Amino acid sequence: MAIDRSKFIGRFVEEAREHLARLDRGLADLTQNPGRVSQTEIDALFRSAHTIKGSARMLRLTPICDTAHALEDLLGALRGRQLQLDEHLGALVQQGLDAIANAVEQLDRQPDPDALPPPDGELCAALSAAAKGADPGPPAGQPGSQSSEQARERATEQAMTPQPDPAPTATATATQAAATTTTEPSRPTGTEPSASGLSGSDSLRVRIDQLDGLLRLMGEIIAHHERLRQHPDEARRLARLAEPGITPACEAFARQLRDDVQTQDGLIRELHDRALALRMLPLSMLFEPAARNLRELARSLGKTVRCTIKGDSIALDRQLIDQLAEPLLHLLRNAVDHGLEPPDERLAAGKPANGWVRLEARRDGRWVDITISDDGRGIDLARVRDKAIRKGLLSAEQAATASDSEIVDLIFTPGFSTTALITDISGRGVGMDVVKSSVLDRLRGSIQVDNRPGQGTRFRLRLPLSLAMTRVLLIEAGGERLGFLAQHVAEILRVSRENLLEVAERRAVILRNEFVPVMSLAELLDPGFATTPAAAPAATPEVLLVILRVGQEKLALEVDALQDERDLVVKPVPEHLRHLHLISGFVSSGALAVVSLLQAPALLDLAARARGQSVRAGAKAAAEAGERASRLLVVDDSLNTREIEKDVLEAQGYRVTLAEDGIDGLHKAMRDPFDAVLTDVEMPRMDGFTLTERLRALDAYQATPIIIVTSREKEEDRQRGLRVGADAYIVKGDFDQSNLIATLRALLG
Amino acid sequence: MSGPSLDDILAERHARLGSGQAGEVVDVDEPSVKLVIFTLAEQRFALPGAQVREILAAPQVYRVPGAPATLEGVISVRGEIESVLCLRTLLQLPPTTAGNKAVLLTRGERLHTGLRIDEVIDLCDQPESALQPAPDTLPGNLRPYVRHLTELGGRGVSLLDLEALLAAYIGSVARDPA
Repeated sequence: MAIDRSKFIGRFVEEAREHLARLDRGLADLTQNPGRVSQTEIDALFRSAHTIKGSARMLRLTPICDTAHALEDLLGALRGRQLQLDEHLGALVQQGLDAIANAVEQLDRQPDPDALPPPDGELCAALSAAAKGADPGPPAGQPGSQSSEQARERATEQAMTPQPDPAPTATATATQAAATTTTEPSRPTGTEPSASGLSGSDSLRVRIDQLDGLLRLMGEIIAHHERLRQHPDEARRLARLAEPGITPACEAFARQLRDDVQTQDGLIRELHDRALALRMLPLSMLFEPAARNLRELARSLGKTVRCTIKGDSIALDRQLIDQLAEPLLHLLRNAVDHGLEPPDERLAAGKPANGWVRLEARRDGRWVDITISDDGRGIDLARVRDKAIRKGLLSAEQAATASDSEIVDLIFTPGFSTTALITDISGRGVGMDVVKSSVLDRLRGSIQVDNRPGQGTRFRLRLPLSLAMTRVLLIEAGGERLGFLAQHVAEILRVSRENLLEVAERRAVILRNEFVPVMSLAELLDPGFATTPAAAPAATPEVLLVILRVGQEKLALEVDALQDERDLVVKPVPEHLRHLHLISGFVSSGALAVVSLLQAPALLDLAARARGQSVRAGAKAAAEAGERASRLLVVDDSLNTREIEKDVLEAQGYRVTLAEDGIDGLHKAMRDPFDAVLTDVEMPRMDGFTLTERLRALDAYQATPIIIVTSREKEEDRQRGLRVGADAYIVKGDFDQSNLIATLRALLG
Repeated sequence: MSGPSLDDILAERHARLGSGQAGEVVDVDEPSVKLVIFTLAEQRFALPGAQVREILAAPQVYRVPGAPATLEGVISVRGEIESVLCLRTLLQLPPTTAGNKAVLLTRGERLHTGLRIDEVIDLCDQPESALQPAPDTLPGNLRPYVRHLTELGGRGVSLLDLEALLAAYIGSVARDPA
C-alpha cells in the first residue's frame, strides 16, 4: 500500500511545485497592487491551494494536506471579499506557502510520506483564525485555538484513516535495498523504476523535456513536409513545358520525386506515431489512486461505496494524464460527497445501503470515453434552481422557464455549489467549473451530464488520446483563414438561400427535426476582422454552413469556402494571450502561415449574446405596447428549437416557459396554468401526441389551445394530432413565424 | 530568463564604480550600454540590447479574431507561436505610412513577445554619460514608458521601458471578458 504510493509522489511533487510557483507569483501581485488583481486571478489562487490539498489527501500526505487546507480557508475568505489582504496577512500566507514548499522539497529528496514532519499546528491555527476574520496575531496561539469544529473534523479524519501498516513498508524497502544498490531515490517518470545496474534492464529513463523537444521537432518536420508534397505536381507541370529533348528525363525525375515523397510521407507518419507512443501512460496511473482516495473519503463521511474500474489499461498521452488528474478527482469527490446518500437514507429510498461508483474507460478510434457514474440521489434540480436565483445567476422568471438540462448545466458555473454546509471535502464551489474548463480548453474534449433524480448521476468525458495531432477543419471567412477543432463540427452542408428561414429577426436552418440559428462567421467575429466585404447575397444562391455542436446546442455558421480537413499539430495559446477567449489554439499551414482555431463554446456564447439583444429589444417594445402577456409553454427536445421558438414568441410579447420532453412539459403544465401549449412530436420519455392527450384529460387544459410544431409532414400524422386534441398542426418545413403568430392570436382570441 | 533592464545595468555600474571595484579587466573606456535604435511613426526610440532576442525584418503577422487593438497578431518563429504587440497603439502614436514593418522579439520579466515597429536603424554602444533622464516636458502618452533620452547623429532618441510597456498591455487585457 505505502510502497504503491511512492509511484505517485514524483508526480505530486512536480504538480505541487507548479501550483506553489503560481501561488507565490499571485501573492506577490496581490501584496503589491491588490486593486489590480482580478477576481479570476484570486479564484485561480484559491483553486491552486485546493488542488494541492486534494492531491495531498489522495496520497495521504497529511501534513501538507492540513496546511493547504488552512491556507485554502484564508484564500477563500479573500476570494469572497470578506477579508482584505494587508501586509500581515500576506506574510502569514507566505509562511503557509513556505511550509508546504518545504514539505514538498523534503518529499522530493525522500519520497516517503511517513517521514514528513507533522504540520505546524500554530501556523495552521493562525491561518484558520485569520480566515475567520479574527485578528491573526503572531502565529503563537495554542493548537486548541483552532475552531473546535475543525479540530473535531481532523480528529475523526485521522481516526477514520487507516494508518498504513509499517511492517510491509519496512520489509518492502528492505527487499528493495537488497535488490539494488541505489541509495539516491530518483524521481519516477511514469516508467517503473529500473534497477540501477546496466545489466538486464530493458527500459531507460528519458527526461520529459527531451521527449517534448523531440515531439516539437516532429511537428515541425510534418509541417515542413506538407510543403514538400506540393513539389511533385510542380515538377510534373515543368516537365510538360520542357523542351522535347529533355522531356523524358524531366518526367522520369518528376515520377521519382513523387515516389520518394510518398515513401517519406509514410515514414514520417510512423516516426511520429512512435514518438507519441513514448509518452503514453495507462489510465491506471490515475484510476487506482483515485479509487482508493474515493473509498477513504467515503469512510470519513460514514458512507460505504463499491468502486468498480473498467478499461484502465487504455493509454493516453502523458500530457492528458496530467491534465486529467484534477478534473477526475473533483468528479469522484462530488459523486461521493454530493451524490451518494448516507446508508439510512438509501435504505429508506429502497436502495442497498452500499452505494456504487463506476469509473469506466472505453476506446473509440482516436478517442477515449470516460464515464464516472454513481447510483446516488442525482442532482436535485429544485435546489440548484433556488441556489441559482439566490446567487443571482438567473432571475426567478428565467429559472422557472429554463429546462431541466439547462438547470443541470448551472453546476459548472464558477462559485456554484449546492452543499448547504461547507464540508471539508467539496461543496466550496470550486471544482465543477475547473472540471469543465479543463476538459474543454486544455483537453480539447467534451463533457456531458446525465442526471436521473433519485437514481444517480453520470458524467461522460470524451477526450482525444493525444493532443499532439488533432483533426482540424480549415475554412475561409471574410477573406481570412480560420479553423475549427473537428470534434465541435457536427456537419457541413450547402443549402440554397431560399431554404433559410427568417425567424425573430434572424435566419435559421432546419436540420431534421430542429431549428438551428444561422449566422455569418465573418460578421459574428469582430466586424473589423474581415478583410474582404461579404459577397452580396444575390451573387451566391447557395450558402455553405458549418454546423457547430457543443453539448446540446448547435449553431450554423456561414463561411465562404472549405479549405481542408486533416490532422495537424495544434499549438497552444501562449499564456499571456489566454484572454483571447475566442481562440483555442493555432495551427501552421504550410511554411509560416499561422491559422487561429476558433473556440466553439465561446462562439456559441457570442452568438447567443448577439441574438439576445435583438430579442430583448422586440420583447420590450411589445411589453410597452401591451396588455397582460399570455403565458406559453414550449415543449421540444432540441435546445436550439426551444430557444428559437422562445425568441419568436417573446419578441411578440408572450411569456414563455420551456420543457424538454413530454414528461417535463406535463409536470410544468400541472404546476402552473398556461394560456397555450406548443409541442414537438418526437421526444424522449413521452411524445407530443401522448402529451396532448394527457393534457386534454386534465380539467385545466380542456380548452387550452395546443399547437403541434413538428417536422412530420404526413397527413396521417396531422390527422392523429387533431384526433388527440391539438388545435393546430404546423410543419417545421414550412414554418413561418407570422403563420405561427397568426395561429396563436386566432386561438388565444 | 529575462535580460537585465537598463536600470539594473546602470545600478550595477554605479554600485561598482561607487565601491571602487573595477571589473576583472581594467576598463579604460567609459561604461556603455548596447541599444537597438528604431523608428516608429517618424520618431526614434531605443530598447536595451539585452532585452531584444531577435530582429525580424518584415515577417508576415497573422491577425487573431477578438484581439484588442494593442495586439497586432501572431507569428511563427521556428515553430513557436509568438505574439506581436502593436507598439504604436501602446504608445498612442499617430498612424504611420512607413513602408517597413519590422518586429523586435523581446524578452521581458513577465512575458516574451514581439513588438511591431517601423524600421531598425542602428545597433550601437552608447556611453552611459550620454543618457539623460527624461524631462517633465515629455508628451503625456510617452511619459509612463520613457525614462531616458539620448542623442544619436544629432537626433533625439527616447529609451523605452519594456517592463512598463508589457505591464500596460497585461493591465489592458486583464479585465475579465464580459
